[in-house]
Amino acid sequence: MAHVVLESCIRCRYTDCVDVCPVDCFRQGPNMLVIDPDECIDCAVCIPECPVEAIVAEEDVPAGQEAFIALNAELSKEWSVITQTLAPLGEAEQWKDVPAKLQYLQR
Amino acid sequence: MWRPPQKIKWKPKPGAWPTREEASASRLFSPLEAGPFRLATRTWVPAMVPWRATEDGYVTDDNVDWYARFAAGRPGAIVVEATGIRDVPSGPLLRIGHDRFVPGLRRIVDAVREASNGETKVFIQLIDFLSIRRRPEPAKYLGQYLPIVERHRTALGMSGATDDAVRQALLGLSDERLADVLDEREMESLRMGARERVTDMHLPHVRELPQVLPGLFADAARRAREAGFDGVELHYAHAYTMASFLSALNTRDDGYGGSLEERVRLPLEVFERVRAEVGPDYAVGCRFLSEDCIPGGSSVEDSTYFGVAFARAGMDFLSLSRGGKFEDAKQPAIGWSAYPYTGPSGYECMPAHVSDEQGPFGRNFDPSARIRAAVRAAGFETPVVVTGGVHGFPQAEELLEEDGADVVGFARASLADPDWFVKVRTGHGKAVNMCIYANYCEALDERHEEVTCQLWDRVGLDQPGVRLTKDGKRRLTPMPWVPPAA
Repeated sequence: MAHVVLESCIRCRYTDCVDVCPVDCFRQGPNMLVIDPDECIDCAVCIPECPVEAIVAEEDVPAGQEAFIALNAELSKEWSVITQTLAPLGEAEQWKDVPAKLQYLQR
Repeated sequence: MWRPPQKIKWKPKPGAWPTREEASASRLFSPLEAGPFRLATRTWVPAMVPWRATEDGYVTDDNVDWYARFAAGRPGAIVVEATGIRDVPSGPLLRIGHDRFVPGLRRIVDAVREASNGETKVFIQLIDFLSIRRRPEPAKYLGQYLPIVERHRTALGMSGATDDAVRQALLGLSDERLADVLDEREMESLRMGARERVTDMHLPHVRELPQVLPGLFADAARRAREAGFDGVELHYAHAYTMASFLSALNTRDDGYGGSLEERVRLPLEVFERVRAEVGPDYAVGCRFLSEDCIPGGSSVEDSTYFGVAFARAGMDFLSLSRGGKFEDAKQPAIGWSAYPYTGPSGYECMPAHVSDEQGPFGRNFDPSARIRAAVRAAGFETPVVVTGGVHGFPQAEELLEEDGADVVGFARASLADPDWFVKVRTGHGKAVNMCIYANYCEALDERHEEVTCQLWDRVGLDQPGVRLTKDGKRRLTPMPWVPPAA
């Protein structure tokens, strides 16, 4: 049980969530962030920070995006910790409302 | 942060809120008088370290604001955070190890009196702790810190080798092989950071603790009285020196470890010196553990013995916590110190909303009730303060009615809403900002960052006069509560 970053983060990676996390549980990939489920305390402060509503509690993951639960767990072990907000990716604005971005995930 | 494997999500259920009349007829909001220990209501804010002191241990404006804000909610008493009795560098933890700290501490006392119109009593928690180091870089530990001894040479088959040669060899070993060469303590120092124990009798300053601590605690208590505090709470709980004397893991062979009588000996000697220093008309109590909650640690039966011993010695109150030990703490990241609330015992101390079948609300009730019953059975009326996930009025009232406690402590619930007390008392319970037990506060505490609550720390940041955290992102105290017009 933890919070999960969903596909709307891909190619945007706004990172506003990072600043509010009290346990530094976000991990940074090339074009997405994920949450380390072993560190997340389910405090939910990050949810309203995300401009693209990419973060939800595990039990609220919408149908069709269940794969992101395992993906967050897997990628969080490979990617490094991010503790400070960065500028969003340059293409964030044009991708923020695009659905079905899993195909663009870079590892 | 350790979590029970069941991972059951719990939500606070405060139950019905009382009307103003029901509240004023309740036990919770009734006074308690027991010698020098007198409270206007049986509500209590236990000691919490908010990391607002200076690096030199002085009180800051932020400390004063913090306690004034709690006092505005009118709890029966506030216990000011763990304050170090020695005059040694201890980071931004308050200190009371020298007379120069008294004026700052007096500001807290004055602020609490003023904000509560004299109603809220203010105690201070006095703490001693042993040294704990940050987890080292392995290269630094093996290359510099580790004292090289003959045992290492033998294990490596390098008799006669220089220290440098031995260090070079150690640096080339796998973790597995390293565990064969280093002893258990050395491995722990490498993995967790070196941590002193009360059983380190080879260290003179540890061996002499029984000679040194009574005087240090007594001087600190005298200063607390001079600063105007209504009493002192001796910190005999969690991972620190005095709790380590009480622990069943204390095997000292100098008369201060081993049997229950020997383990409680120093805590009693400290209390006696404190009592002699401040006199019989000053409230002196302690916070101790109902259970250590670690393998080989003290059981509730042990703590029952301690509770009766403290009551018999003449303590004015007993405040119970549980767990919070270093022994089962999680490995910290390199450069960080172990934190005693990260393992299963830490979970018992500050259980979060992701829990097991028992849940995070009231895990300490049954053990505390057993200790209280034993104190009463021994003929003592010493008030017992119980904490641990209390957030609702019926829950607190029941605890008092069913002889579970004499005073109810609200730690995280009051951090989430310091006005819990005044709101519930005046029939505005519905306005309580309810703690969700996510332990956001604990995560900040672990990082020694200014402790705030996620329920209020980003609200109204643009209002005039709002004091912010160092990074300017969070407010340091919640917005004032304005009661609705009648």
